[in-house]
Amino acid sequence: MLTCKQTSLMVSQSYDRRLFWRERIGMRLHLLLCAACTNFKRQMDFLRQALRHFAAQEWEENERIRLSAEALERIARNIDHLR
Amino acid sequence: MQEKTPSLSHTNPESWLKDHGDALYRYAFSRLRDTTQSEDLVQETLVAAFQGRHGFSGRSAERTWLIGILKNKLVDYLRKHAREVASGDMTGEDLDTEAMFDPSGNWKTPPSDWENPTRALEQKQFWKVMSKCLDALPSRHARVFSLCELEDFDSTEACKVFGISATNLWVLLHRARLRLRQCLENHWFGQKTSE
Repeated sequence: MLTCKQTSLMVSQSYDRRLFWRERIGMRLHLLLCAACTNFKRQMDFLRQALRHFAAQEWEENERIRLSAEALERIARNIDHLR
Repeated sequence: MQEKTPSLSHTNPESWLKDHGDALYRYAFSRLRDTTQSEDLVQETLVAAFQGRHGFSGRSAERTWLIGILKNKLVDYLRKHAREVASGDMTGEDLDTEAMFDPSGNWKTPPSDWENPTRALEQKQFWKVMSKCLDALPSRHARVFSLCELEDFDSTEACKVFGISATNLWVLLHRARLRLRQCLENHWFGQKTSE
C-alpha cells in the first residue's frame, strides 16, 4: 500500500507523464481509502484549472503590474538608437 | 501632418514600448516574478522585434507578435540560467516540503476539503493571493513551474531547457505544487472555512 507521501507524488506526476498501470492502480487504491489524498487530488485539479486562467489573464488584467517610470525611461533610452 | 500608416508603427520600437510595454512587462513578470529580469526581457524583446520587423506579416496583432517574441526570449533566459535550477539536490527549500509528511509518510496536516473552489476564480482577491503564493516559490521551483504550467512545455522540452533529468523535473514540479497548495490553503481556503 502506498503512503500519502508516495501517493501525492503519483498524483502530481499523473499530470506530467503517463503512469505505469501498477502505479495507477496503487494510486487509485490509496485514493479510495484516504480522504486527505482525495482532497489533495481535487486541489491539484483545481490548481491546474486556476493556472490556466492565470496564464491567460494576468498580463491583460492585472493593471497594478506595470513598468515603473524609471524603467520606461531607461528602456526608451536604450532602444533610442534603433531607427 | 500625415496619418501614421500601419507599416510605420511596426518599425518603431518607441511606439511599441508606449503601446505594449506594460503588457509585455506584465507577461514577463507573471512568468519570472522578478522586476529587473522582467524589465530586461521587455527591452530584449523590443530590440529583437526591431531586428525581425520584416517578419511581421501584419496578420497577427502587433501585441500578439511581440508576445510571441517575448516567449522566445523567456525560454532563452531560462536556458541561460539553467544551472541555477540544476544545482542543489536537497536544499533547505526541498526539506520544507519533506517536512509536510511524518516519517511514515502520512500528512502532518491533511489537505482539507476546499468545497467548490472554482468560485474563487471570479474573485479579484483570490488572484492577489495566487500571485503572492507564486512569489513565495523558491526560484528553482518557480522557473520550472512557469515553463511547464504557464507556458505549457511538456516534460521532454522542459528537460532540454533546464538540462535536467525527467525524474528531477517531476520532483521539482511536485514540490512547487505542494508549496502552492499549502500557501492557498493557508491564505485563502483555510480562511474561508474558519469564518
